[in-house]
Amino acid sequence: MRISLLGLGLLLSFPVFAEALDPTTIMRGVRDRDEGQDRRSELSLVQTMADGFVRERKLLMLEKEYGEERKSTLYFTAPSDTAGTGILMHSYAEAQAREDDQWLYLPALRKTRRIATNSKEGPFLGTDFSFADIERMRVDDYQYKLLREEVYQDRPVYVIEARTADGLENPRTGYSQRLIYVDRERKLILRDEFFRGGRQIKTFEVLDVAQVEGFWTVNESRMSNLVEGGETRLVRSAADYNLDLGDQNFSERALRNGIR
Amino acid sequence: MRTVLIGLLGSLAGLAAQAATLSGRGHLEDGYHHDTTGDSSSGHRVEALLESRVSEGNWTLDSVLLGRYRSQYDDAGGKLEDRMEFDQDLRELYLTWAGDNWQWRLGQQQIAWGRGDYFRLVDVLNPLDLREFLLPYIDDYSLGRQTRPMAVVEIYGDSLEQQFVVAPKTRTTRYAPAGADFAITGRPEGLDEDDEHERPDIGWRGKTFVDGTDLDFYLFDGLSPDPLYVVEEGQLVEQQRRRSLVGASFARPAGDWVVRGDLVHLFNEPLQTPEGADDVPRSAALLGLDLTRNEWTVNLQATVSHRHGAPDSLQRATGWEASAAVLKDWSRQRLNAGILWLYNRDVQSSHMVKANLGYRPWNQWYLEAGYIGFSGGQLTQYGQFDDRDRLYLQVRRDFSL
Repeated sequence: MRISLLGLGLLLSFPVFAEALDPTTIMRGVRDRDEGQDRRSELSLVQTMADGFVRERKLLMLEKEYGEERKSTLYFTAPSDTAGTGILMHSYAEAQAREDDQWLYLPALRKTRRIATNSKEGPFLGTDFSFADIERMRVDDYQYKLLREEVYQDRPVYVIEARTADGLENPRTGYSQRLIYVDRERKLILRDEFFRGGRQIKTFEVLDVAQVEGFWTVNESRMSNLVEGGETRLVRSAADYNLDLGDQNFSERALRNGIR
Repeated sequence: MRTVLIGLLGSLAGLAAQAATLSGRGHLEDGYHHDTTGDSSSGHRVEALLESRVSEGNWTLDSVLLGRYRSQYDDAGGKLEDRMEFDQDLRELYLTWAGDNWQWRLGQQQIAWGRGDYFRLVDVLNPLDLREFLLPYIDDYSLGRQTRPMAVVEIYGDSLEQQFVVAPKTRTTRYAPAGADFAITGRPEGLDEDDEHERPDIGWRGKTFVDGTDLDFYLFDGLSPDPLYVVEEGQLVEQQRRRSLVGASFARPAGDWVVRGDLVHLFNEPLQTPEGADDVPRSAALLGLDLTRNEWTVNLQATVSHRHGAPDSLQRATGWEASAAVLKDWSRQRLNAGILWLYNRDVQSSHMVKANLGYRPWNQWYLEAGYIGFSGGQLTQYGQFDDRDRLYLQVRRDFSL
């Protein structure tokens, strides 16, 4: 009898549970979480290769929301052979089904080059992050299934499986499947396992989260390369929100002049 | 020019005094080459580059200083010297003042127009330094252009960015002196210059973005950097003539590729003819394709140019150029290999090929070895250097200040 009551209770509660915990809605919540109207970050990309070679790059990143669109400017400040390089990205509303626009400024040529964004599986400046990993999340790339709720790194998380509709690699991201750990309250991805052809190839882990000016901010994360070995840590040394950044910071002019 | 430099140096001192931010970087490079044909000669070049930027509020002062110690150079008089000597060049020194919707830059600088690599259809503001046929700078064109004093005003509208350029002092393409490795075949030297240039070079660029496509439009009126040789009062003199052009560029992604192009029409291009000199209209177009996929980069280009109403003495009114470059990275961009092929056909075909292998053994260190070869007839663009095929080795150390 107790089993039947428990079963009835589960049965009654299931529609509410299913609606509240729709994994696609959860992922949209992650994509659309409040990160302020604009923000400025000082970042380091610390890459440790399989043979122990360590390479560090420093950059400034400005981001600004334009409704459902986002513009970002990345400007490398170190080391000297990369300093002055800039990347400008315009991300459009996912409903527009339009590829991002990207431009790359190369100081050696004094020119800004257009970048194709159809495929983003390639490494971002040779690191273990790909261009797809750093772009704004696209929820419709995958179909989602909520596997379970659990505690991960002392935080309550949803564990969500993401698969492409046809089970093959997404031609844009290069991934066929992901296993995503989403902080239930902060709407942050704390862990992400990436698969290609059924084989796990990379693992993303958040190592440090803090609240900055009221916004949950990932201060350190790590992408581990399970195929070639090695890892890349993304360390945020400074973050500022709602600075009322001018539009001129998100133009080719900013790439040539640099940002501060 | 000296006044401008002194004024800008004064500005630098003023900015520094106001607790401005200062950043600097540069590189040291040591290169050695060995010719594999001809006299089997060799050469050595040491180069130091220092870039600095001082910023305070809306003001920025940029400078680029290049020093070289090399085995073959020309002195100020265009005379060949074949011993190791040092020369230095304050390549860029310009002041930028930026507002929300405008910016101006004043000083010694360079401006790159167009979407083409290697082929400069609309990149007309800065003449080239061809003393080493661009070989040391073929991957870093900012060092291959000769900088010049310019005043640049940029105005940023909602849908159109405009750039206005005035360059008061003319510069000519810098060639290697007779007897140097890359001296141009048959070029007269030591002639008097017939240069009454009363008007500055002026240029305008409009830039817009329409439905995912970058569009640029250009207008230019100024002196051609390539001198003509004409007989005046019984004497051969060197002469620079004006040219005017209208041009356009575009770039847009197409699947995994980026498609880009330049289009230009010169109303009156100065042209050396067997009879002397003429001004002939010319149109040219460039189409380029770029692919970056994982660790491969592919770059393809083709250009065609046609002279309208060229004199019959010119053997061919239409010319072609093409390039193909492939770069492959390994080991997370520590090891790379590249091959570049350049093709030119005016009357006859000629080619240049560069193949290189690069490695980064430590942070900020880069080693490169490669081969550069030329082929074609003696009067062609690349073939005239057919006896300058060479192997090279260079090491570079980047640094920050």
